[in-house]
Amino acid sequence: MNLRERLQLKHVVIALTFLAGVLGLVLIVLPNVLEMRALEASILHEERMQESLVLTIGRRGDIAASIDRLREETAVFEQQIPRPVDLPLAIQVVRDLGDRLGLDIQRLAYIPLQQREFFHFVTLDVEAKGDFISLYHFLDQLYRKFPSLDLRRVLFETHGEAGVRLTLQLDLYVIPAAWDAPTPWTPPMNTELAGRAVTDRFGAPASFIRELYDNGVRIQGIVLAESGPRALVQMGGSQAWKRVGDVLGNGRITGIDGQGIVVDVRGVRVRLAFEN
Amino acid sequence: MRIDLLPVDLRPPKTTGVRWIFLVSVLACVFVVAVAGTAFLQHLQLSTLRQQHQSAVDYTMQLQRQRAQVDALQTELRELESRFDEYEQIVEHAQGGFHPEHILAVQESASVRVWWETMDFVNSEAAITGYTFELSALSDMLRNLGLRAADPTVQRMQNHDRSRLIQFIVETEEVLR
Repeated sequence: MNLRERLQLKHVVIALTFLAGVLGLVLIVLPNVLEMRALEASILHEERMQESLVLTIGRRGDIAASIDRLREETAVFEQQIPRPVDLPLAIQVVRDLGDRLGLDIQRLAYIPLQQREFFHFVTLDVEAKGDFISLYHFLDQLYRKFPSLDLRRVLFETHGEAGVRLTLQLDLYVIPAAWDAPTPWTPPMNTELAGRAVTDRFGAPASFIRELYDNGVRIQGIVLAESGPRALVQMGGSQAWKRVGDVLGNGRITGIDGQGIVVDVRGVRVRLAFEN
Repeated sequence: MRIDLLPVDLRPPKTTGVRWIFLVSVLACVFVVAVAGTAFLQHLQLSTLRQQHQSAVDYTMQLQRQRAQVDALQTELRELESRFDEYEQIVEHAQGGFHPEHILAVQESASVRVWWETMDFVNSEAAITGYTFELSALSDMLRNLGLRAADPTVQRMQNHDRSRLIQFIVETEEVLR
């Protein structure tokens, strides 16, 4: 190999060395740079995602607390609002309440489950007789025991000798079976009668008062004796001596004096004057 | 005197001169070494970055599993909220009309000289029939009722001559509690 050939060989080696360097640069270094950039970007992306996830996960305690609170609150509703399957028991509760208050429940009928919008309800017709105060407490207790009760119509009527008649038309809203309430309805406990004092303003039917006059009641004489006052009363074509406490028509005589007699017709005091 | 008979391009370079081929060779070597060094360093950095990335991905997956649990809790919360709203609507809808205290409000408006015969509530509207022996008692009742109910109106009034009984029908709009 002469000097020229050696020189050419050197050139080739140098060129190959450069080529190896360039190939290393293109095939190894540049892809590495790209991969590093991609990895760094991906790590940054993961870190941002982690920050967001940590924030979300950080709310876990609050969410769990809200769930516990709502579970308790919905359970309270579920204990108070009956399901269709609870209706026989709910009706028995109404009946028992009436019995406890000494009422005569004359009618307790219901129309099976109906639906309006998303509300499911049973319509109940209730008729009860008793004194007004007990009927009021009956109504008040029903309202308290059944928070899903809509009292659509409430009618009190004075009812002859038997006190007052209460007629109720009510809708009892229920939790439909499809809602799958996890907490069962709990029949309400009997509670003390509470609330403002109630006064009874229901007197005898007006027809009873008018009847006293329409039957031609006349006080024809009064005797104020030591043994007790007496009045000679004409009623319905017959006469009779009456004392305090005696029955007169639909009422009872509660007083006799020189001017006439006082008759109590179911709490309504009516004065019948002595006609000379 | 020494005479160099070799042609100029075959003559050895001067010992003091810099041979360009030497410089180029050195540059080529340095270049290759630099590339190789860089590649090696990058390899180390890439290993570290890959580990970091894998750790980050693993941690993200772990967090996503936890987030899935939180999502499930949120779904449960939304269901509970929806159920609670429905129950609340039921109770509000049911108790939006008549309230037993409406009875008390009407009762308290009457003096002892007035008696009821019927008291009829449809939601919070009331119709009352009753009687009294004194017109002033009816006036008092209407005045008191006006404080507890909207627009109390005597719909009918009838006098019974012999007994002096005054029968009435009073209707009111919204009774207050």
